[in-house]
Amino acid sequence: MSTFKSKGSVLSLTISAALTPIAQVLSLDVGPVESETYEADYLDNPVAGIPYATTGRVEPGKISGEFFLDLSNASHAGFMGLVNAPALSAGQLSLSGSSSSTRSGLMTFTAAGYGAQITAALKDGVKAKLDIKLSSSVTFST
Amino acid sequence: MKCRLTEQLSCIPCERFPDGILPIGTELEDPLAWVHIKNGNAEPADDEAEPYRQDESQTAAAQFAYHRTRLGIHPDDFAEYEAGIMVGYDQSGNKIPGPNFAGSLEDFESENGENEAEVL
Repeated sequence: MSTFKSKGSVLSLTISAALTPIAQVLSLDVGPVESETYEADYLDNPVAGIPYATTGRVEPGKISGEFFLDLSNASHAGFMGLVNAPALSAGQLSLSGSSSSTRSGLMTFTAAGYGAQITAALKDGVKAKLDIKLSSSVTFST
Repeated sequence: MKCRLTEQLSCIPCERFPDGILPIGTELEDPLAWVHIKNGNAEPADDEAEPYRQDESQTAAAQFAYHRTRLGIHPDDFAEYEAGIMVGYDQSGNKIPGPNFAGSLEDFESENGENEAEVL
């Protein structure tokens, strides 16, 4: 069994056809990616446990994160551009290393919507929280 | 707005670029095409993109920052990356020695701390 450091993880979004890495990211949360279920209980169920069943569909969830905002940075300005001009686009999250030989994992996804929330607070840098609503299913690979 | 790539970039494989590579010289037309010019990866290819043109030093600085971001270099390691002492991280998040790395691998390993990715 192995564990991996977060250092070296890179979120890249398709901006104008090319994968563009987002700079100065502090944290990322993916999901919840979950299979859809429904309560399959019925009135004369003889057991106490409530049964659930799968619909066979997947909720891809979203990617949330935070980065130090620098609007003069092309990737940050580009992200804000995606917020204002939303379109389905592909992206990837590369974990611990950016090339196929050094990374520990790769997640590819299709982004359907983008959100940003900027915060400026005492004793902290200007940050932006990002939200990326994912579409369809998410692919995990090494 | 149009830009022309001056550097090979990657993309998610698609019908137009099935191998996931955007070769040098590829023209991209998009309202956000200026992002690649500002990242130092492209040059303006029409009048609309011309205001985003950068001089050589700006382009070089942007390219450097772009690749540093692409490799996920942590701010703590910027100086070592800039000096060519390290070039990125391996699967465990440990530093990969660069061309100017003069110490021993043990130095890096002790700095990296315990290798948490060691197979148990």
